[in-house]
Amino acid sequence: MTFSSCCSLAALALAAASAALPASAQTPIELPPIDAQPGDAKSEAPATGGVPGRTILPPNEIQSRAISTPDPMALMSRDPSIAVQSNGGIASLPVMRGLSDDRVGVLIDGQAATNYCPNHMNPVSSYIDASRVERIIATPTLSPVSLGGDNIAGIISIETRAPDFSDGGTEVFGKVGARYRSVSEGVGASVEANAAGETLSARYEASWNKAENYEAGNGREVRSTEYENYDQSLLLAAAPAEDVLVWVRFSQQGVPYEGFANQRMDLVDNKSNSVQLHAEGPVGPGLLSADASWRDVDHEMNFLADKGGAANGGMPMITEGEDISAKLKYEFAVEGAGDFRIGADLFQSSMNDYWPAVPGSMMMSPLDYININDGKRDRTGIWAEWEADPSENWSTLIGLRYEHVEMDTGDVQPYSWTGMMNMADAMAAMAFNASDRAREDDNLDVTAKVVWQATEEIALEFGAAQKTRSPNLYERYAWGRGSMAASMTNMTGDGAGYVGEIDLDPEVARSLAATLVWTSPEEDGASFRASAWASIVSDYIDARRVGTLPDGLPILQFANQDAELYGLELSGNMPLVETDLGQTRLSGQLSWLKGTNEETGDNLYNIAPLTGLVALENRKGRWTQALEVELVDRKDTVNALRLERKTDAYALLHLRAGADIGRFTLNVSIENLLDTDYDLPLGGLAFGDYKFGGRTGPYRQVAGPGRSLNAGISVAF
Amino acid sequence: MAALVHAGLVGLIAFLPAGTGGKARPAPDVIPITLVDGSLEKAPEPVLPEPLAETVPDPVQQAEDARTEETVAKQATATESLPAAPEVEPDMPPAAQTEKPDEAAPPDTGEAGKPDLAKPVARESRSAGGIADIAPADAAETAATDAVQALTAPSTAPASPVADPGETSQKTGLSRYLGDVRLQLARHSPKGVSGAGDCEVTFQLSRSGTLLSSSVSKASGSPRYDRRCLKAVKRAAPFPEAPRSADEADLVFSITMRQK
Repeated sequence: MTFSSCCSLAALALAAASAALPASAQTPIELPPIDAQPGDAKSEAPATGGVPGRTILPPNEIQSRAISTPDPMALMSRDPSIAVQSNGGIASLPVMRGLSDDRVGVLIDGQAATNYCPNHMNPVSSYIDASRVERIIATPTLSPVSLGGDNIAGIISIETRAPDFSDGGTEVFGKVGARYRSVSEGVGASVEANAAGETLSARYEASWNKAENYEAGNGREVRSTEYENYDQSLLLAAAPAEDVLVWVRFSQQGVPYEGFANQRMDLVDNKSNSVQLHAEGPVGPGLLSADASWRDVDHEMNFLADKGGAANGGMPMITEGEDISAKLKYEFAVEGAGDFRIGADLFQSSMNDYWPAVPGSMMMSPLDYININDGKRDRTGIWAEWEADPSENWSTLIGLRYEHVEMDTGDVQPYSWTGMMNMADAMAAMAFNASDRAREDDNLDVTAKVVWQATEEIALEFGAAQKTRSPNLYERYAWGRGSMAASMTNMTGDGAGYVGEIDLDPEVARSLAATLVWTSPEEDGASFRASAWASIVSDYIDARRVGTLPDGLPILQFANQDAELYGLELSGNMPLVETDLGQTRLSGQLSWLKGTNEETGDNLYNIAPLTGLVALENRKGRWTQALEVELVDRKDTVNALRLERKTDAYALLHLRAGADIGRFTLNVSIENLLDTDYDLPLGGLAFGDYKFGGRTGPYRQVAGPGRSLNAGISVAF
Repeated sequence: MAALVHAGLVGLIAFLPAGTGGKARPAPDVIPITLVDGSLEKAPEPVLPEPLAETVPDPVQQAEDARTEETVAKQATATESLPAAPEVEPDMPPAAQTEKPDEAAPPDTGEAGKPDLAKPVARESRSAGGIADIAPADAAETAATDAVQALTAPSTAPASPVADPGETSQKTGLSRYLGDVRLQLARHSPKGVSGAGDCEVTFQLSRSGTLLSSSVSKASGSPRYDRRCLKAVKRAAPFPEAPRSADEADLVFSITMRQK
């Protein structure tokens, strides 16, 4: 046999084997796809109350952005209607259409929480890690009264995933994740484990985060921005019958330390426990749902190392708070008339805020300073809402809410009744104790709006609302008039000292808003959204100057003044090109607003400048990559009363990429790619830097973080 | 020179079947289903998706097919007809099957009106050219109620001009069987899981309809949903009995369970 003959035989054998392989591998016959049955109850956001006027941060966006911060509120900073006031690492405060902090109703699964801290270090969103959030819905200005009262800006609903039930047998599943952020050497981890039966289920979730001070674009350390926190929760749920759901969630949150760059104090310990109970089921022709909750908060402030530490006792400040709430809601449909919802709410807050004496201190002894003694803020509300579709292209919603608010507090005391250094406080305490401090407010909210589906592509929502908020406990009852005591109450990060005003009236916002949405009929086509809004706020709780702190900053007293705000928001996205490399889309948004104190003519504090975002995103299958340009204009309309600082315009470049690879989800981003040095327009006064620098030099604004490589991975099981 | 000749020979033998297999070729007029018992000998079809799909017509089967040819041809236009029960004989006239898809498969009703169910599934399995290609582009209009229609209706239409009667009847029966298998799965479709992608499951059946094996061939990214899809296949068992002409070794299927 010749060599060539051998080669021929070998070639034939190889060819024959190759030809036979496909058959022996039993290539499957592919059947046309089938669709899964509808999944968990809350897999989609409810359409209640009008869709065009709200925005939703969906789960994939949350997962992608959570590598930057574990703070859910910080994730909302890119919503056109929301800006974020810097606070601690997990304690950002919302500013919705120019109205900040308590003016925004923030709910976790429908549940509010009181911010028990004179520096508002405990916002609602600090009680939940971003890894536990399923979606965040922002409903500005025209939020239905059924979502909640006690706000004038609108509602931010942070929603967790609905309880899971199996479709047969018991399922065990979950997810673990980890994340890293280079600019602050930040690390985080989260775990979720579920055991789900057909009618019973349990879910355990836990997370932990730790970060050092971050660095600004110029490499300078931004003092008092470090933090560490953890939380865990256990959700037990039962679905004993169709449309019947009962669940209870036990949660615990802890913050061993958290620096506050724009406050005189830092958080040195915080513990909060909560129980939330929910039940819903059909009753008569409708659906009845009931909620009850309890939360306690043990909160302590002092100085972290950047502000001098507490080795010599520092200045301990302790707040103990408790929330108890109950809600009932009944919704039913009437043939030919529409959907009706009625409800009743009860929300009781109680608080003790005291500052233990510091042995050896001339100023802070011999007594404990009692700031709020058994303070109470109880809200009782009833509401009704009617949503109808009078014609094919029109739907209407009108709701009415009445709330009765009772507030009171007990007698207070300064560090000393006789010491000269406490004389201002002693006199203020005597006057406070002699006053009638009980207050009752009767608040009325109305929301009326119309959605007109002009064509299949165009929808227009417009309407009007009156929304009311009573003052919080600090705004009414922070009584200290001495420089040190007054400077301890500050919820705005402006460095000023604040004194309460017992006679404050509730602030009432009367607003108009309209939102136009155009959506291309093509699948994955373009869309455009434009909103215009205006609010006149009667008795807006601003402030008037009553003194000056030793460092030149003002002492202010809360005061009712009228204010006016208006603004525009534009957003849209469109497909650019689709190739083998995937689909590339261009998106952008622009927000502009103005807020004015109509009595003083001053600009309102912390009004975000013109802000824009342009993003180029490429998506191919489960791979996503994006280039983003964040554009922020110079902030030069500042509040003179608070000596608010102007900030320069800046542009930031971000890159991000994400991939779902089987059970692994990877997210990577480089934020502030060009390491731009910039100040946060709503960052407030950099008191951490100021104090670390020996209280010298001019006041600066808190700087934003420099270039950061962020990465996160999660694995499902 | 010898090496070149050998290489050419290898290439010719190795790639010619693949080319004639027509994975990339639309071959809309061909039902490349190979569920044919090895004992049934049949002449090669003009174009086959797989090299081993060659069969010779069974005289008995051919006779039966000839008798039913007229009925089958009618079925080509009766797109609303679909298999009513898994036990349907392969060659049973479709007139016996009048159950509406929505009634037959309540879990599947959500698919109604979705033209994509009738879209060709451009996958490189041997049946991609079979099941998918038997659904012509304009079938989207008529297959608006259930994908089974996309299986049964077009199966006869394009085949009739070129296929012999036995082949046509056999294909009708096989298509019906595939429709039944899918319908059985649709009746037991899994519950969706938020955030999961689509999951593809591959499974093997016995001739009697017993589930022999199942596995996830394309994960959804959610192990929980993957497990649900596997469980759905197990719940769907037993499946309809395979046609007499089917070779058990070929009863391997894949199906994508989509997240809405």
